[in-house]
Amino acid sequence: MIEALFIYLATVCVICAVLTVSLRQPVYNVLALLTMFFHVAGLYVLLNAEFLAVVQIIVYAGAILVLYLFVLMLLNVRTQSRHLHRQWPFAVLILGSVTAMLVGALQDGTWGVASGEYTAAAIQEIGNTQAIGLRLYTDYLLPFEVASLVLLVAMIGAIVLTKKGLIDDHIKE
Amino acid sequence: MIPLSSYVILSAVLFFIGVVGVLMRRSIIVVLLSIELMLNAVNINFVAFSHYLESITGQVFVFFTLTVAAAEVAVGLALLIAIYRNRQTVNVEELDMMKW
Amino acid sequence: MLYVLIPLLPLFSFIMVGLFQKWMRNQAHLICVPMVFASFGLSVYAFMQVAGGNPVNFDLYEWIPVGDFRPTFGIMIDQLTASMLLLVTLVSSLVHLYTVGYMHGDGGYDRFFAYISLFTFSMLALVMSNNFLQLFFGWEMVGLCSYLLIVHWYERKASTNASFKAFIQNRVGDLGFALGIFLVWDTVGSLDYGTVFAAIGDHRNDTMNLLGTQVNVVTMIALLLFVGAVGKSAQFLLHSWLPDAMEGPTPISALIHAATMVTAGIFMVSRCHPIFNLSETAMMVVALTGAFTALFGATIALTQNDIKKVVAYSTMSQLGYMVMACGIGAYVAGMFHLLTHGVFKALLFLAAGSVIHALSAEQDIRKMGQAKKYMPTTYWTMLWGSLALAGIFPFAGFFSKDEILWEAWNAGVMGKGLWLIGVIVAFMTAFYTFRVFFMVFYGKDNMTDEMRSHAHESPRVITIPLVVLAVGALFVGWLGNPMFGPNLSHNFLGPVFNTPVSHVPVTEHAQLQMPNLVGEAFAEEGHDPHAAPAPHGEDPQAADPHAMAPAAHGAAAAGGAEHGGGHNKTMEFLLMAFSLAVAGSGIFMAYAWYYRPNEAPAKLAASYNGLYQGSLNKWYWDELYDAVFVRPTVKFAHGLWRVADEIVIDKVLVDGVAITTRIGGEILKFFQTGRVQHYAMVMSLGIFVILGGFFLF
Repeated sequence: MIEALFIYLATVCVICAVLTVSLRQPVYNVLALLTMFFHVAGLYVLLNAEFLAVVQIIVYAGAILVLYLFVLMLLNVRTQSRHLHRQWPFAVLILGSVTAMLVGALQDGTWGVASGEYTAAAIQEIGNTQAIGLRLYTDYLLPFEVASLVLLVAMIGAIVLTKKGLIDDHIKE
Repeated sequence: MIPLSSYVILSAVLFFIGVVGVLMRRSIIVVLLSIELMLNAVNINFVAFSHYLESITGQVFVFFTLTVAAAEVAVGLALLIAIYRNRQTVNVEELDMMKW
Repeated sequence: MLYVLIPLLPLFSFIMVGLFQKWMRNQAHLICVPMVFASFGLSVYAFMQVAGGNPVNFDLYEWIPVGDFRPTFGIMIDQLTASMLLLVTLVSSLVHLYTVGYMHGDGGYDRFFAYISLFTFSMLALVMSNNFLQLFFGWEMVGLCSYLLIVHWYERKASTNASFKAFIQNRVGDLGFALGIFLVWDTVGSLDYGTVFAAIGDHRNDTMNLLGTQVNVVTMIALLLFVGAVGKSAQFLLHSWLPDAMEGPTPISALIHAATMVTAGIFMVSRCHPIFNLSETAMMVVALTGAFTALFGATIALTQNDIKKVVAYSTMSQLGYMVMACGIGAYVAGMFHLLTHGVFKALLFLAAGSVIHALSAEQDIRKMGQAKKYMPTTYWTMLWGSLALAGIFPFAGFFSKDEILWEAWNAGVMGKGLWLIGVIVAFMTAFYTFRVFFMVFYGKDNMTDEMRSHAHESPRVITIPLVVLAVGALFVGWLGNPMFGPNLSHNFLGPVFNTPVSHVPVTEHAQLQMPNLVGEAFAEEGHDPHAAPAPHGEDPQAADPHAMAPAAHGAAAAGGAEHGGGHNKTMEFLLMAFSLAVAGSGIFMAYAWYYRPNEAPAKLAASYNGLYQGSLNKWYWDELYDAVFVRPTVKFAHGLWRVADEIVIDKVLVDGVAITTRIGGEILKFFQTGRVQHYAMVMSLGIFVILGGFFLF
């Protein structure tokens, strides 16, 4: 049952990813990516990470992709007659072979040893959200605060970059 | 039980699809989307390892990746708007000021 | 520890003036003059302490320890150092004072003060050293200061040329000096005076391989050290820089090139007398070099027309005298002459400077004359200085010069020859000194109207040092008078050198032999090299290396002793009277020829034109050096410039690199498209290659 679910989710993810990079119309690209994000959220659920699954949908689907759509509508970019770069066959060939090599290499392997600290049962006992929250507000408090700073800087940066007259004049010079 | 390698392979495939997207699209918007794709591939890896190694740290990292992705989108799209306003194009090929 | 301040005070004023030169506004003397006078005061104190029997020798700190090589910065004040301290700080103080007047209004006033303070520090570090490395440090520093001060008026071509000449010739000497120090280290394994002088006797018979021949190590050390002295004290073969150094301001000529720095060579030879005493060959070389330089300088000084050049050649000649004295083992006489000479030669230079200052910077004595009425103080002080230099009783030069002559007379057959040279030089010295004197203050008035209208006595700040030095020139000689009362210079300096004082019979002297001062100072620390006094009585000659003075000298001293003290005294007075007569006749000849305008000198010059031209042109040594060293070097350098520099370096290397880079850039620029995706593609290619390589191998 879980295997079937995984196969379904993985297949849709890959198909949507391919569509995302290959479709001509930007809006379709965004929508394909949206579909993929939902399925990635499904994968998270399979991995007992319910909190991240929800965040994935809220942040990626709800915020980031909507932002993309806004920008698309805002700019109203003409669809380009040629949407692929000239080097695309080369890129596909090279990276296809790299992927093939990696897939071959990753077929079987053992990575690390299970620590036994947060087993599925343990997480279920206190709940995924609380488990993450505990770590986040104790061991990772400083990175957490730094992350907020990153967001603040990005916010200011976005405002400065898009506000008319702040940097346009300089660029034209 | 799904082996860990399945997730890792899926993640690698998605990641390289993203790289191909970055390399072969002419529109900045889709290039940015491809970067999101790559970030998600990495996130899958994190969560998978977190699950299989029974450690919550991977999930915490996903959280941070999300933050950075949000910041990246904000700045990236702002840049895109600024570029479009100045050059009336979102075509990466035409943005070649960095040359001799 | 108070003694540390003696060199540090001038260093302090150098640092202050040097760093804050910009804000000094020609007021540097407010710092420098008090500092150097304080240093003088401390030197007087140090002198008193030493005279009271308290020589010191201590290390301040380890300087640059490398393995076994642990050089220290130390201070040693014995009788020798104390006398030098007194001379250096006295002359330096007076020159500082004099400079206030002489350099007034000069653009580099503050810089000048900074450098003379630095010089004072360096010279003090040199004389107060207790090891060879610090001596070398001071040695190099005074050379540097000399260079910096000669080139004070750097916009004048003659100044820069003279400074290069001084610097380069000094380097030649310093190379020998450095090699000598290396050899000392190699032989003894220490650079500390006390250790080296105590141990050098054990290496008396060591030999080393020099280009296939076995030579005596001690002789080699002595000769190499002497090469340094030759350079610094302007002895024959490295002499030509000193007269040219007169291009510098006059206070410098007085301080550095007459009274202090140039005497460093004599000081060093005296300091290293335990080494020199062991080598008969080296002593002979020293004596002959000194004698020849004395004669050489005097013959040139006879005909020079530049007032400072005459004094400079006379300095060279007098330095030759001192070196000669060292060469016959008469260190006390040499040092005593050094001290008196320091005083009266500084006086002569400063007086000459005063004349130059008063006569609109004119230095040619042919364009002077009848200056007496304009500058009475300068006239009188210069007269005293000239009398002292000529060696007229009772001025300083008389005593010190006659002591050297007397020691030479007693130094065997060779000594008699040296004595003869000394007397001839004394005659010439008297003649040329008064030639200048009469031509400047009497003779025909050759001044231009403009000079005459500006002629004036120098300000008091210039004349006060002159008067002080003139008084010194009169009295300082009495410290070494052989006639009445004790001979203070011998009593004071004698212990350092252990040399036979001619009044004491040699056998008695050998028993009375005091350990040399370095040993004495070390005795306090329990390292007395003469710790076993018993052998002295049994076999003094063999027991004490210092008694092994050159055979000639020893024989002479012994011979003198046989005749008894009374005969010696009579002989000494006879010789004194003789040299006084010689000097007097020199003065009389100058008087006869130059007091009134006279045709005699010109006629003589015409009839012996070859000699006259030779002397006037410094026996063509400059031309010889020019042909042998300078021109081949310039030619070689020119060749290097044309071939190595212009073709190999400029064309092949520099242009070659540029051209290669440009061609490479022209090719590579096509890879820089400015498109991000191309770059990313190359990165992917990189990943592919790495992964592929990983999989293949």
